[in-house]
Amino acid sequence: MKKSLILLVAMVFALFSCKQAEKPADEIQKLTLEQVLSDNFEYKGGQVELEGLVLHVCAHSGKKMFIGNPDNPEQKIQIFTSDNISSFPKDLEGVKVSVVGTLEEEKLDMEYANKLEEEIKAEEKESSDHSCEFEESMKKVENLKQRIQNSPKGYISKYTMKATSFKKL
Amino acid sequence: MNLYKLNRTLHRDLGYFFIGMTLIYAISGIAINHIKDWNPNYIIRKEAFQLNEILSHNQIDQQKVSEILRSINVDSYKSHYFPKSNILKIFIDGGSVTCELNTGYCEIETIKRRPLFYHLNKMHYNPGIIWTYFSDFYCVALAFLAISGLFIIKGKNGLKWRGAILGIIGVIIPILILLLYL
Repeated sequence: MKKSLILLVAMVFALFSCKQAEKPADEIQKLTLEQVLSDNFEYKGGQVELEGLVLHVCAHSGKKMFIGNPDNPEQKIQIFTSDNISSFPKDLEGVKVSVVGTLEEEKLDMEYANKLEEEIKAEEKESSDHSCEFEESMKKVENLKQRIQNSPKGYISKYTMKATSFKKL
Repeated sequence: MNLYKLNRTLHRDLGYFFIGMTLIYAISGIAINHIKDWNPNYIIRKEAFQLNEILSHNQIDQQKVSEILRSINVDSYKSHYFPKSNILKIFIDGGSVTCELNTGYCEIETIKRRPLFYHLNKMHYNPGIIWTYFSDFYCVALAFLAISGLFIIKGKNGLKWRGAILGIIGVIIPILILLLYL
């Protein structure tokens, strides 16, 4: 009995005493949303800092949120939590924040744009009435296609961020 | 050393030690299992109201936003922006107000943390590295509890009859569900 209690207590102490060795902080590059969302932006790795208004926090898990520029609703980026952050509190919505983390790139090429267009058309076919949303979505796809065509890389980079820390401004 | 006695002692003590963890995962497990039916973390309420006038994007300034909030007795303005040219979103403490400017239709959404569940679910969603270690420890202990439980009782109520039958049924059910429904 005593032995098993001692064993349990020792395991708990071992667990809480194993502090991770602190890594030296990387240099943090301060960027604007406009820079990251520009078609010419190229991410070279490392930690970046972004500022923006929290437009939405996922109410179910709190694991993702959008920050953006309140003066331009198109300028927004999705932020995900990492091991350092358990979740984003819902009351961050409407607050200006600074977020530090790493960027993750998704490549949007012509194949992606065509597939998106097909999906939107298929959805419209299924719905009974012609919606303004359909027209807006199609305009966005056309715009995306044009940007892909004009891009020397042959694709558009869409970035999301994995946040390691954030603070209210 | 009597292995049966050691097994019983460890099974009992780990069972006591992990009562809290088991309840956290059991209660939040049910809450998160039904995530399609409810929001397990927040109580969200929506209420509609109508603006007295039809406004355009250009007419909205800080003063107009304050007027809208005053008309619904809200004084906790945080910020506002236009997700679309005809949609105004005002962030307030504990929620937001969204207005369709071309119709004047507005909705106030209030969000409150669901008592108890918010924190239990936060633990369930693996909130950090210390919790990862502790919950790994719990998972290993849970596996030990399952296996050690087989050897607690000897005889026909143990693995020779009752334990074996119930144990086999308990393994067959998830396999059948996996094969037939998933």
